[in-house]
Amino acid sequence: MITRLLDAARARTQLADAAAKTDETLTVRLRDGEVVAAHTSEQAGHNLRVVVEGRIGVAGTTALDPDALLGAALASAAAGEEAPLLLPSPSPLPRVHTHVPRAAAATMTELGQLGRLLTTRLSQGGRSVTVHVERSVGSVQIGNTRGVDTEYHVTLVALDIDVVNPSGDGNVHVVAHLAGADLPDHAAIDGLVADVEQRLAWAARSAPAPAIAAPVLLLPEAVRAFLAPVQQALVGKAFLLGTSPLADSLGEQVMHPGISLTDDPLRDGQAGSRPVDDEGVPSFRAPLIEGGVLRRCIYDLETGALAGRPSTGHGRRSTFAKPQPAFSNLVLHAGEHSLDALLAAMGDGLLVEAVAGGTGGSSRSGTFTHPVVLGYRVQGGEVTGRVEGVVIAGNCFDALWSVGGIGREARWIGSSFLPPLLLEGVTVAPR
Amino acid sequence: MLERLLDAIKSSRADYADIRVERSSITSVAWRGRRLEGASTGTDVGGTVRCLNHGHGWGIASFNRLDDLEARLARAHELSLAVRPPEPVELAPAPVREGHVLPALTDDFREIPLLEKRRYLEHLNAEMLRFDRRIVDTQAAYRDEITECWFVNSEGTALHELRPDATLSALAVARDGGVMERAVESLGARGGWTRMRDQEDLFRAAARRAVGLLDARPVRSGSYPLVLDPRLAAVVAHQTVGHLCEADTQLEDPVAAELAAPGRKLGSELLTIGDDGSVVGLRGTLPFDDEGTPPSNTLLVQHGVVVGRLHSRETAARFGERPTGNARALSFRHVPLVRLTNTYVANGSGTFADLIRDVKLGVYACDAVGSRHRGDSYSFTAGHGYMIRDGALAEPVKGVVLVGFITELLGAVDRVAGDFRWHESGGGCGKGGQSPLPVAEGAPHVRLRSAEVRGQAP
Repeated sequence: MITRLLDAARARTQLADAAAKTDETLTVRLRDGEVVAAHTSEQAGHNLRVVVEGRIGVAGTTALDPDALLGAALASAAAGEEAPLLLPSPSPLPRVHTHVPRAAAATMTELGQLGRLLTTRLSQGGRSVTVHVERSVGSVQIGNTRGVDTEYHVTLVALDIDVVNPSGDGNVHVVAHLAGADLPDHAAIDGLVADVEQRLAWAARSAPAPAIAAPVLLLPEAVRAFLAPVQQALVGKAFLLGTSPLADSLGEQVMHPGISLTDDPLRDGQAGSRPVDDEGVPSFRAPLIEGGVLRRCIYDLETGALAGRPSTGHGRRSTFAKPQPAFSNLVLHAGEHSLDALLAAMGDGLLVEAVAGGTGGSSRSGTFTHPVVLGYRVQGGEVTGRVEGVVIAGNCFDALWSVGGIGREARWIGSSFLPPLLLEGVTVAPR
Repeated sequence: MLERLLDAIKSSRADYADIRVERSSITSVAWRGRRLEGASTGTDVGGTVRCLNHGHGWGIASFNRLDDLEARLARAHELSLAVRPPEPVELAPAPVREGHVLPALTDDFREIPLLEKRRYLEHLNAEMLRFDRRIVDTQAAYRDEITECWFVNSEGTALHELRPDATLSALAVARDGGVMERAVESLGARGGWTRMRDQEDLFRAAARRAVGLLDARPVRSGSYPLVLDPRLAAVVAHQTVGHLCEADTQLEDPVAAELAAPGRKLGSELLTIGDDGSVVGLRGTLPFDDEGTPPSNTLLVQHGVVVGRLHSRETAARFGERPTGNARALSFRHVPLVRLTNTYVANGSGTFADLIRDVKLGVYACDAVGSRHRGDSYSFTAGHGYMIRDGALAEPVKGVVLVGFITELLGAVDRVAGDFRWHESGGGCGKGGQSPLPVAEGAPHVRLRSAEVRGQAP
């Protein structure tokens, strides 16, 4: 339909681009080894952008009706805003593996077996184990009136595990995730099981909270919530509007020299990987922060054009909205320290597995107040038990100047690759 | 369409099957600062089929293409047979219902040209931009959606509804030197275009608050007597009692099951909280839920004691209770979960002035811009606040975050005022990846004798 759509658009405008996305997802949910729900979903959507007399119009549909979609996009352009939009021309795309045939062909029986395998490995001592297994197969087609016509295919297998362990003083919840283009291999499953067992062992006993000024060691899931203000500050729109605290700091040292952050769409087999963005701009590895120095923010075509900058290949579009700048795979570069070395370095403090993210604070200024959902007391460099009823609070940008160490054992959390991060200057407070 | 669905469902081999099909027309307009972000329209079409067989569980298929419903039913039936839940899935009995609920929209927003909507929002956005020179960024957004829904099940129920929904939202960012603050306001309504008109005050309020926060000091962390404004009190009720009393949440979460077990004392005897999807005209109101059950007024907590739960047909059967009409799905892409509709804290007596009169040093917390709860813990971030000194409102404060345990929070309520009001925000409720589901919340002012308040920079 996309070719037909663009052919029809050419009769009305020289500038148009379109995206067509399909997705077929099979989800299986197991509780204590039994399949308790199964859901299949087939979705397809088209998004069309036109530029008429310099004005941008956008429309989307899940109904397969190209004429109606073009009419809606033209009406949108009549009410639209002017922008100096320049669409990309065709160019070679980098190679990146986003589709694995055996994952695409995985049946419900195979997904159920995967869930049962994990359940069997984790079930003991009265634990309750819930596993979500999801397999998606999709395609992304991008075209424009300058000749871009490209399509790639994706698979994604995602596992979400929730283990409830009855302990002497209440239930302990431990969650774990795994996602990638392929079915997980034995090593990945072994790693996941070992991770969960480690957390359950740490959480078996309760321990008192540390002192208010104690150092805090964030594990990867907590690092993701902690870095949210940094991500928002690196979006080109925030630079354009001057609302990013980093907006005037390109080329300057903005955090600890140990911090390097890259957006990397070219990692094989990861959830955010892609050879091209949703506007037809070829993907590339984009260093954002190098050694604590701010190198770039991310732009899509329109935001970049308004800022007088080229797109960084970060346009993402959904069915119903115009493209927006968005990250692909966000990689916080791992350090040299083992987790044990970081624990030894902190001596006495708080190890944070997960926070109830997004509460409190301002993403613009970087302040945060995160209730700790699962955290552990560290005494003498050893984990001595789980800590309940504390919040961590502070300012993300300030804390990133006081990095005590970066772990080498990074993990994928969705489309982010994150190592443990030892911070000073974060307050630990009782709720 | 109903005839087509009724024909298709005859092909089902499952013990129970239902089909829900939706067609939505969507318009959105957004301004950011002095620039139009976009003015666009969309059409969203699709459906979901659910099948259930004795001794098995739900098999579900959702889709965009409506051309082979029989194949979707066969696939959902096949998936159902592969599901083996440890507890049998049964459905509480429900009468066969037939109906067309197509409200006459005298001011149908589909008839308003996109250009007019753009101009109106430009005007509202300008109200924020010109409010004060310290306003450095704004976001003004409008969205309307009319969804035509068809629902049939294998028991013979056949329903056809039109669900209009429109929202306006305002975000203002103010900056003075290195200090930057933001404030949001929003409105949602089941009504048509007229309900969205003349909302200049809403947008000016966002700008006024953002500017006001520049000079507000961060609240000092500590325990205070705390007065919640009706908006925040209603959000607290929704996020704590409301979600804890969703029967599917109780089945999944032992902490929720324990906290909200019928007969359990969950809060002060001054607290009565319920959920009522039948209130005329509110954003969470529907003629039928997404299983064909009419919503009802369900008391959840009465005088501090848990007295009810919210149900789908499945959870009602599991608990031996009656469906309450709370099975709701965000769209055809999703299965119905047990969801809130219009959640309320029942009125008490007295005025706001009565609540603060004997407070020597306290905090008045207003609106909610963030909230989380997990297990028995919560955190709520107020949009803004004031200190209460010697029985009167004093200086504005910011960064008011309430943290603690649910039972302590609800147990600390020592006054409930008689100034109840509904609030229909433009946001919505999130659960199980389905967000934002239109809901409304209502409450009067509520006072807590003591609560933990965390400033953002303790």
